[in-house]
Amino acid sequence: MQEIPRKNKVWALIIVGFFVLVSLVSYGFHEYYVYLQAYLWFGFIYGMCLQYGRFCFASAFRDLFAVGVPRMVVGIVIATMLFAFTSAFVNATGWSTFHPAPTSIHAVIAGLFFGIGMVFAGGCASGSLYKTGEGNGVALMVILSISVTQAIFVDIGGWFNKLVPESWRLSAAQKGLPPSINVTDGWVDQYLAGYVWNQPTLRFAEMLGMKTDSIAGAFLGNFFVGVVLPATVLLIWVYSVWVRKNVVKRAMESKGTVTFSDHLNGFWGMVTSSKRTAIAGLFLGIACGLQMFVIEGLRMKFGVKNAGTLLARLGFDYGLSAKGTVFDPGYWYVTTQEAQWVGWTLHKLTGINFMDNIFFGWVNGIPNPAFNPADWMSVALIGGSAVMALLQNEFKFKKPTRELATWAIIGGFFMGIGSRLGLGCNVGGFFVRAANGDPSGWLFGIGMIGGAFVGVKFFNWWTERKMAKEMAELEFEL
Amino acid sequence: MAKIHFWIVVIIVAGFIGFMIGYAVPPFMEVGFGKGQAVQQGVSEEELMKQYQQILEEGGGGESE
Repeated sequence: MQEIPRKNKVWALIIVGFFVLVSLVSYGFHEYYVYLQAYLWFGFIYGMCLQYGRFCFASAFRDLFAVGVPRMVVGIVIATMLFAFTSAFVNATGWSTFHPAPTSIHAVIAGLFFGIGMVFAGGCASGSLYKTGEGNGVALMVILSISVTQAIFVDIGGWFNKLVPESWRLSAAQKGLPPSINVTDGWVDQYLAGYVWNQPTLRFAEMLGMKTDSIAGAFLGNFFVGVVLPATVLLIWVYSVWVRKNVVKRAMESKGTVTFSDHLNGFWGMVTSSKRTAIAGLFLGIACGLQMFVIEGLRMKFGVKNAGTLLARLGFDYGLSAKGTVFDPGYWYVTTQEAQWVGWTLHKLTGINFMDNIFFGWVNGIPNPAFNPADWMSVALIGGSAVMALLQNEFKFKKPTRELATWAIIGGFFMGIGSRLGLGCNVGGFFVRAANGDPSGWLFGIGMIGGAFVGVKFFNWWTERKMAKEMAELEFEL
Repeated sequence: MAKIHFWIVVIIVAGFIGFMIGYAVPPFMEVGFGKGQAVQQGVSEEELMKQYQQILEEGGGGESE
């Protein structure tokens, strides 16, 4: 058994101690901080689970498409099913904080951008967070790139307004948004109000004539039809393309024939090969479901619908949206809070108004990151991952090379664009949505898989080209 | 894996989660589990706007970080 250095154990306890201290001191200031602490401690759990399960969509699809190893993809699919099961419980009671997203082709396009970006960057949105907790400098650069790209993208107007279809502009102008939002100036504003908001929000339960907050709707509609069936199709596809041939080869070598039973055993072997990711997925699922319960309970307890009201009551009314709200999903999310802290910083430093767009000004606000509930979740997620990495002796500071830093920035850029087009990343756009019976989650997932495939193919081409160049130079020198 | 330290961390995390569940469960008990009334329990959008306006007026709407 590997001996864990004492300093690792001490640092792990220091990190936990810091979060304990923040929780106790903030609670001493006011009871309302329990709301932010809920985000903090669930974020901490997510970080521990992600690090333990190596829960990274980029690594998963890169392994699958580049070297034909399906272990992590399978683990993620299993994790999605496990999370969906706990979500079904929450949905059946009617206490879920989840809201389905508009469903249309935009989710596929967004997923495509995101998938390309995550392969370039070498980490998805959640993967980059947990890898940052492991001391990975490249992952930190990816987070910075995603954050800056999003903050600028949601506010960009001027020449980009010329790229907006007239129908979007007219539709956006009719939405009755306040003049402070200036909805006809800004590409994303007109995309959201003029196109995305016009798309239907669906769930499998409602599509089948059931109610989500009923046992039949939650378990049969959303869980079985909305998650188990598509996830099984995905697993069968992975088995057929990447695993089947090995099963056939082994069976032919040992018995000279292949039976249905061999395929069943092969399929089961594939499913159980990713225990670590699946175990992490199970705990992620339980934590995600529990967070929805806790946040909804706290909302009832404090008589609010959004953390913005609590922040205002505490006297922090700076950066609240025009509706008095802040980003407060009530469940696991990654990218929106990353955009917020950059939006807040740029708003403060440059004096440019970042509140005249829908994303910040109407929906999420740009509260001080120190009082932003979702930011507490992300910081704690990094902390949770660091603790887990330290206790497994997997923590190591890694300085980015110039080449990796460049890919991190390019990848982060694509992920930032994809996140805002799809209203979420691999977590908020796919994992949480798909698990809650929202078809837009699967559409984002399809795009993401396609994007990952394109990204891997491009990367292979790039690497081969680079190696050929280097070899040619070497030959010349010799 | 440093097992003792890992379990110390787990106990601390479980303690805080338990504390927050203790906060969250009583409101559910009052309203009743499984009745799907969550949406009706919060403050309405209109009330929220009024509340916010009132806070803005009281605080003058300035930065108060």
